[in-house]
Amino acid sequence: MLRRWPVQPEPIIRGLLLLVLSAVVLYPIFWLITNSVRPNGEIFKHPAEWLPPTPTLEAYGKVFGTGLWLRIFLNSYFVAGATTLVAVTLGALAAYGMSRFAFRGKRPLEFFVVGTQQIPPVAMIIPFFALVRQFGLYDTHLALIITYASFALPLAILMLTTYFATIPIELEESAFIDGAGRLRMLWTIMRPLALPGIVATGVFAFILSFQDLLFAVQLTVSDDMRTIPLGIVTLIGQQNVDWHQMLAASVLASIPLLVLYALAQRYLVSGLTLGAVKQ
Amino acid sequence: MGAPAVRKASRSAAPGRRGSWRRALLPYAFVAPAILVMVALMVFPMGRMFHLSLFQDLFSRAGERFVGLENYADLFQKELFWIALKNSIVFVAASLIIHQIVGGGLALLLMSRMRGPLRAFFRAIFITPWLIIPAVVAITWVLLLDHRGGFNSMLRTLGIVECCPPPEWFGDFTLAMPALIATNGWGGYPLTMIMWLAGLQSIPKDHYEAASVDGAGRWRRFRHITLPAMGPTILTILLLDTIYTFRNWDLPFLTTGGGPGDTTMVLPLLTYREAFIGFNFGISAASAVMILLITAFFVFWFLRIRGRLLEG
Repeated sequence: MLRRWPVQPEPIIRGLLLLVLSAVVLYPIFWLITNSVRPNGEIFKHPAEWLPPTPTLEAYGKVFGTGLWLRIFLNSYFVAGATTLVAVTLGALAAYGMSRFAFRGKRPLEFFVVGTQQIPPVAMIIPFFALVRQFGLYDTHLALIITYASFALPLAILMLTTYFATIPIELEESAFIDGAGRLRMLWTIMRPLALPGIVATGVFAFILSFQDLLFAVQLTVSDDMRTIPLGIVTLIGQQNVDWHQMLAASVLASIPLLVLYALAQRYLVSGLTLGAVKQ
Repeated sequence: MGAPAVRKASRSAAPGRRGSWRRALLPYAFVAPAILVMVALMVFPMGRMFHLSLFQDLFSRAGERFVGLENYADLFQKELFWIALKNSIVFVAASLIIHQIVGGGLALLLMSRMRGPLRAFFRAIFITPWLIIPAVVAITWVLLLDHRGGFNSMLRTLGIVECCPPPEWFGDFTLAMPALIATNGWGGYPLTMIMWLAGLQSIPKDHYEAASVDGAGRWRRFRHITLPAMGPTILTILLLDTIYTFRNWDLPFLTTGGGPGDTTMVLPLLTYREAFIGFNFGISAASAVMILLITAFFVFWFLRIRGRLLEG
């Protein structure tokens, strides 16, 4: 671009546009947060003030007051963490196999992986329910973990396969001469080089399992097993909705993934760049 | 994809010490665990669902009874199925258009010249809705679009709706579907934006520089460099977005539950309702199979266009 004026109007216009769009995008979240600190009776007041005149943390007290919510949060971390570990490990093994070897049946396998992505979760709940009961896994976290891992696997394999394919094979050849086994190569050479792709894949798997409601509703029943989305939805009662506590819990439930993004953001787009898009 | 690298790799594996049959089995050992899990937990249940769709009186004491395609015939005779199909198509099409316009537009804005930290800051803001769990997205929008909610308050402050009683967005026959689409538009555009960003970053910079030297304006650079380079990526995004939006159960379930009337009844909700409220497992299974078939139809369609783009 040629610089014709000493002051360019363009960056200023762009900056203003970005600010306005940010405000539009964040408005629902702003509304959620401000309502969570309104006194209970003021949540549906019309017309409402932009900011609550008498903010209170009463609702948060209610959430923290019971030990149940601490348990629910730990459940979600545990289930999502374990899912991520399983999906990334199995995904990386499969991706290594698919990006580093030529073998019979590889093309059909790629179609299979892409195809499984199309299976809608709602189509599986009846057979899943039966299957999980049969194996005595009903109302356990293990049932959730294997379910989420299987749903995270297709994307994990696709993302990692294409990411691994971009890493020069020569790096492994020298290690191969040194007599390193394949698994060792995967761990010592691929893992550090493919870190952005692995982190991006992990974040996707974590978010997928952290956000699910459908399977959590069907496969668990006791209070102790609840994950965050289920915990929030449980506050919608038969007769009335505990809006107050639900809003505070919703705000708190949003924090873990925001923190996760802040930690992983530097890898996320670059990890995806070479991963999912260039299938 | 990296075919030459693969051939080279298999050749490099040749001077191993182990037996040749072991080497031949090695790639399968790597892919087997993942494939086994996927077969056991995705393919088998899906096959079972297909099987269930051919039976009636499932899980009953009298025992199940094979009925062939009768469940499908019953499903097609239900007016609700056609309503749900139409609603699903409207919901998916409108969501995809919003995701592309908002997600793609924001990605282009973010890729323009900007200092690094500033870009990271705005990127974080625009990604936020993706990080909010769908249950919370639903609750937030129900709160926002309640007739005494924030959106109506804002309309009033701006002096737009003063005349009439404020609308109950999710409870209104004509407004419920647009409200649902807006909710999903907000919750879903960041994924499109992230993939757009990833695609844009892989376009070589020198293409733009060459075009700038030739004196190509912004629009022409977008039209002749960005868009052709992004074509396959956009189709990949549309493909994934179709899959994810068609199967979306959480948002309609938590915001409208399919109502008012059946104005927001979509196929996943119908599948769910037939199974867990109507206990018509056979019909529910048939409806689930229909979701898979319809999604597959669109996926193959997108793949064909994408293949043509990649060739041309």
